[in-house]
Amino acid sequence: MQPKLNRDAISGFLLALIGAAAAYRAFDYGIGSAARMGSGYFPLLIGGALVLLGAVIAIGGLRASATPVHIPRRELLLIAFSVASFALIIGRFGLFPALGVSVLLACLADRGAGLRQTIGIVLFSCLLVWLVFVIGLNSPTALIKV
Amino acid sequence: MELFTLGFASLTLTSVVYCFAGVFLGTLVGVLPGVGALSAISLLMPVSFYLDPTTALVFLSGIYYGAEYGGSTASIMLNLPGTSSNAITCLDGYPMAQNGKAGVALTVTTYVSFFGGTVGILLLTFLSPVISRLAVAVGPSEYAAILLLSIIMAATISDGPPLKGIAMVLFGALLGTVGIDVNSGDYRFTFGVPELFDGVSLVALALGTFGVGEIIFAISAQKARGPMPKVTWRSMIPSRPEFLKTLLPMARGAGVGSVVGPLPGAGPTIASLIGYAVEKRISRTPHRFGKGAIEGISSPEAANNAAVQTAFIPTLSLGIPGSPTMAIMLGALMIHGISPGPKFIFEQPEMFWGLIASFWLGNILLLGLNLPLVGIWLWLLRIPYSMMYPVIVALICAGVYTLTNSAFAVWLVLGFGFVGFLLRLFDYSPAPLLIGFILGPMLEENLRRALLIHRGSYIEMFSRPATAALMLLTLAILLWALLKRNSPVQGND
Repeated sequence: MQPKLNRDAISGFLLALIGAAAAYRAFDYGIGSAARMGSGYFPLLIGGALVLLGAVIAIGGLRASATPVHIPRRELLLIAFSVASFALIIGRFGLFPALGVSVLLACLADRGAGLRQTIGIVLFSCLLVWLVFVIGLNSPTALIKV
Repeated sequence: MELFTLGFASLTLTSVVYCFAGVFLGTLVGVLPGVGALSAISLLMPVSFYLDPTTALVFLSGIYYGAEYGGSTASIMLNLPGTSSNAITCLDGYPMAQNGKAGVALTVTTYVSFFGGTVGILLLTFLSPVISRLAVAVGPSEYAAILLLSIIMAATISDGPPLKGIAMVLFGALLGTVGIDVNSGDYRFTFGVPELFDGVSLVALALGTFGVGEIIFAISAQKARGPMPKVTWRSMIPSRPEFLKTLLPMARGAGVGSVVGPLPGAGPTIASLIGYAVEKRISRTPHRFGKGAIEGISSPEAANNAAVQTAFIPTLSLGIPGSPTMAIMLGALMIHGISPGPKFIFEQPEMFWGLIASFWLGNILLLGLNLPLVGIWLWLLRIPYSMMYPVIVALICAGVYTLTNSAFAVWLVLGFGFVGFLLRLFDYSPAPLLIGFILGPMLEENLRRALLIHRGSYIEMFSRPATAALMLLTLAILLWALLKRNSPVQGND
């Protein structure tokens, strides 16, 4: 059961939207003239081109039909949680707790992961990160905060 | 010659050690499928804070060309490319291994890699100073035109539909404008976030779009790996006819790689594909290709190694990186306040020649490293991806965090990881995004200067002989890209 998406239509529309938003904001920064470019000149140029190109891609996509796409939902969610948990934990509790939780969540993204393998990967990750960044690159990151 | 008086003379014991560490790590990264040189270099870019700039560059570029040596191992043994530029080597390398020729294939890919790399370095040595000398005289109008040409080439040559590539460089250029505008001091697209005042972090952008975005799809795409054929020392020596058969393809591959390597957006992957195609076309026995033809691994492996070395030509002589990896490398230079450009070779001769001397050293080390240590590389290939990717996630998170000691960079990685996910879902390539991100601000700066000189007239700016020629070339590539769109677009799956 795979959802169907018209990739070009959606992505073209999104790109055009980003371009339009950037071009709109660019007016606040001052466009100036070609001889004396304001800080909004270049973003307006790029944003405008992106609107044009996004529209061409979207219109081209509308002529084609939607195709089934494979969305790896479990992997997307768990990897996102993994990175987010690192960002949330690192400041308050230090490096090792952050690594422990995020590596655990990352391991869960794969359906076949066993408990022993997961514990091994968590410990190995902590060791490797400690060696590379704390010992090797001299990072002043706190290992564990209480 | 400056190579000897400045280059080898400037290599200290520290830089030799780091050169060795770089090529060793590069081989490791190349051998392991699913870990790329780009991610490894992005993660280790912080070494630039601790080392002198020459040593840092020696180390980081060692990873880059070392990966090209290691990449073919997985292609031959497991039918899985270690890096994308070794994908074509699967076609004949894997059948060779199945026919009991795994050892020969490993030896051949090593010495053709060395030959390709050597040709690449020779060109780099002789061409870069010449190009720089020409480019120093170039004004902002011409520089802007060269940048525009590079951007359009990078967008249209790289894999995927050209229109989507152009959209990606534009998106990248837009991301490049984030932060304080150097000319006016205005804050652009910072949304009041102080961490964005210095612009979007290149490392976070690269690790998010390439690293995290890739992992999400790679987990579900894991394939069961077959058993690996045994390799004995004896089986690694090619027979005389086998050796002779590799020589011409090796030379042709090195030639192809040297031409393709410096082109923006092309790089080692495209070089290896063209090298293979050329060999198959001129072969008198094309039906042997895909069934273990030794020519089919000789040419692409020489081509991709020549291409990684010649990719340094535009990067070092013009300050224009042709690939995301080269962009990261320039980023490492900029950390030291060295602005890359045509003057780099003349202002930093010790660094330029020291780097080239380290390439010679590194390639010789790789030749010696690869074959004796083949046992280690084969053992590493037994590690499944399911055990590797959580460690990569850990390294990415810890790496970007330690870069600034703030969690904001980790959130950026998460955001760009989602962007990378969407790009793959919608069939876009993230490489032009990074090139646009680097070249965009350079284009803005030179366009501003050029238009100031030409009193705001684009016509005047682009009607100088050099700029007109460059613009015509750019328009021709654009036109080709638009026409190509009418042919059926290939999807991911």
